[in-house]
Amino acid sequence: MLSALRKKIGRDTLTFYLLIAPWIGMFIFLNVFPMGYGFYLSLTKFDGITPPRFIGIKNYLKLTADYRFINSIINTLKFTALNVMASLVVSFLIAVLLNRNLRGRGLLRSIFFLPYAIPVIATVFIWKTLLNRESGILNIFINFIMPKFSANFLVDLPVFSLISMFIWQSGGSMIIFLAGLQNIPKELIEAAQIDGAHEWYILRKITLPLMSPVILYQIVVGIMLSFGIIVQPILLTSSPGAAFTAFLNQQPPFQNFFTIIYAFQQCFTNQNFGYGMAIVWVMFITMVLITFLFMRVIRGLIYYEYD
Amino acid sequence: MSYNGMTASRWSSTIIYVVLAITAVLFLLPLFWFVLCSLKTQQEMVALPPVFFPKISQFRNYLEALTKIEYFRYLKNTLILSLMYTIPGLFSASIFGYAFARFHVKGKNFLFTIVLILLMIPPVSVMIPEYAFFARLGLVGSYSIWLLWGIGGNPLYIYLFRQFFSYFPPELEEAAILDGCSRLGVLFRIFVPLSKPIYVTVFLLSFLWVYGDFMGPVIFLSGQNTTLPVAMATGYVIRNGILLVSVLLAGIVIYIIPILIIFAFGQKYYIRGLLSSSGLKG
Repeated sequence: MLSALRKKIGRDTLTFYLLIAPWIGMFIFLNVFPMGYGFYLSLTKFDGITPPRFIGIKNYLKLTADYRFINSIINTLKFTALNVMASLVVSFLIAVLLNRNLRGRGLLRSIFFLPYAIPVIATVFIWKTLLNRESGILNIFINFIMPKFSANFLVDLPVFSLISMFIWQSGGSMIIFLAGLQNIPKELIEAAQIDGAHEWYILRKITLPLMSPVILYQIVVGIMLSFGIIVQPILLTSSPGAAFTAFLNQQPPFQNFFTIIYAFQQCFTNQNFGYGMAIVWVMFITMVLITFLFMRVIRGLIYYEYD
Repeated sequence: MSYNGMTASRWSSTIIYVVLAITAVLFLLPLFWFVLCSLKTQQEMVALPPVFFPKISQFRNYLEALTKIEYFRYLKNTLILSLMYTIPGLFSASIFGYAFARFHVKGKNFLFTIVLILLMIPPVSVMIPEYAFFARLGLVGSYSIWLLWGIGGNPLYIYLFRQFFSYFPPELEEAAILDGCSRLGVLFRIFVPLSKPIYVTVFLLSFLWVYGDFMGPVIFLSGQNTTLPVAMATGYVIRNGILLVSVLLAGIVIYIIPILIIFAFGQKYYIRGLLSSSGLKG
């Protein structure tokens, strides 16, 4: 049978599909089926125990009037914009400063890159010890200038707390920017320098335009990563006291309450799977739309060497 | 003019040095403070005004971190889970990457677009519906989920292998095929021996992903089956819900030491992973 098939569709095609078949199968099993089942559940009322009861699009209608959902979307978009901008500006500036002959450049690069490698549970508790009221080093430093000052930044400035942590971890984009900067032809910069161009002028007129594909790529990746941020706001900025509650029951402050957290808590804390799945699906469609929009935009800007 | 230019550039390079040095200190400070806090007593952690250095370094925090929860059991769980994901994942991602890189057949671009879309979707948003689906199949709580994820091939690793295999010249495989080598033989006899760096890169990325992951175990595992990060985040508590902060910090310090060692010696693999996923050549 195989040899007949091989004659019909060609040897290469057959080998390719044989090699890729496990991927197709697993893609269907791990992505298509769960998402499809999730969509079915979003049309039902389901507590995870009694069988799901079909209710049509009621969950989606309920979403349009749910102020917690709408606020969570606004919060997510606000946070995404701020987070992507802040992380990219800082990592770009560091990359520009590092992109020259400096003694100790390798060591400096490693220092800026290191936080990127640290796993989420560690970064969250590192940041807690930096910013809280009792043991936070930021309070100690401010006390040098204002002795009476005392604040719990995690509660008073939750968005700042979260974004400062992601800036600390932005070493990955710094590395990508640095590689992008090194791909800029040296002759271009040298020619501009001979013409007497100022460093700031070179940055604006040569470096930034040539780096635009890299910057755009980083923006897209940053947006997608921001949509999936769930552990950090919950563990970092909720439970201000010393008393500890389970991860599922921790409530981040209003500003850090994102859509994915709402979906997660509807499913796992409130056992409200139907509603939770509706939230996941709305989020999912938003993400795919954004991806497609950006792919459209960048297609003309990125140069591929092969294929 | 040129003299002025010289001094100006020397001045600016000094300023750049100072700025970079201060920023570097700021980047290291959190880690330093973290280790310092792991040596404090519970009282010193909540003292007002805050204390900078611990009076006596509490190395017993580290001992307590290892004994308060079953540290080594959870560490073992984490390592088993990482390997269950990484080893089949390495195998299948390289085969899929090879297929996407070296075949020119109908339907390939469509399938690869799906890989690219999956690459953009945050894993958590798929995990939530996956939970409902796996619960239906009775898979929740079992490590086989990680095995399945591994076999399915992470889109990032498929992409990295595809990038790497794309750079080999076509003559290499043409010659082998003329000598009677099969397409799969080309991968295992010719490409794999030449691809050690990408295998090491993906192995590290994949292993460290599971080692550091928090949401996967939170959603799919429970009780004594869970991994070290989750066990630490919930385990260092005394009866009335008081968190043993400095013991927790000590536990996390032990947990990240292997990562720091891997980073110190394998930084180039992190960089390779980042750069080829962004389409840049280092």
